[in-house]
Amino acid sequence: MMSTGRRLADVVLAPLSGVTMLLALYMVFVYVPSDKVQGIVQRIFYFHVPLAILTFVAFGLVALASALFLWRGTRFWDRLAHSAAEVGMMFCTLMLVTGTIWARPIWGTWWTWDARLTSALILWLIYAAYLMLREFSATSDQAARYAAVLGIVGSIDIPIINRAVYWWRTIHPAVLVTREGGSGLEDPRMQATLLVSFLAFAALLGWLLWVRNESARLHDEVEVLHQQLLAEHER
Amino acid sequence: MTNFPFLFAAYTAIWVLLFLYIASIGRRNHSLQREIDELHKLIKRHGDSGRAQETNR
Repeated sequence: MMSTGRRLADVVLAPLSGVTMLLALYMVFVYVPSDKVQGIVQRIFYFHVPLAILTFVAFGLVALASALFLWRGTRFWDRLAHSAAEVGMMFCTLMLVTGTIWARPIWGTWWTWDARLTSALILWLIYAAYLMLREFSATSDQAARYAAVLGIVGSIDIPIINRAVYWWRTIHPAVLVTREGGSGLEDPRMQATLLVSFLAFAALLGWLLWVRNESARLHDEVEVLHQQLLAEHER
Repeated sequence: MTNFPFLFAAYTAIWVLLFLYIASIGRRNHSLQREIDELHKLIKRHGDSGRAQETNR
């Protein structure tokens, strides 16, 4: 019999993500008009922006689950934090990759040490360190506690990335907020496309979190069974 | 249309990386599930042989 979590993931989230992703692709390549200033390459934004927002959601979840793990000490919260960190890293990597590909034709360079780009790269490095810490720590209990602290501290970078375009002189566009330079998402078709893309990636994030969390649960089960087998041997 | 290769590269990168990640989680879960099944069998075998030894004593 399917558990409620599995039913939600496999029957709701996976098909929802698949259908909305196909719809988003149709809208990005066929339905939405090209941006007057940036041209066809602006269409990267429809996946780049949801990836950026959901990266923050995933890493925010790492911080929340880590705090709950330090408070309650239950493996459930630790597993959730670890899973959210790995899926968040995937989304963060995709955000950085799509950002650099967009930057090349628009800014004439793959990378520039702009405040928002640099703070986003720092976020990637923090959670890469988080995952390495979990991988290479001597004991899993010790790794979980140290990683929880790093997961909470690392999330401080999220509001910094968000405010970077206002606090420092930066060339990164803030199209969603200010619509500066006549290049914002003013056309309703652009807004609809962004919304559908966001839904597709939100459902994908939910499904990936569930699948990755299942992996962590199975890993814990293997450890318990190994101990049980050892006890049987000693008997 | 001159920037089309950049658009193509961005969307290709997304799908390739996502596909590789999903495949790696799927493989990991499959191998963990197989390990769990093996361990259950081993524990059952140990339990059975232990009970048989106790009966023989």
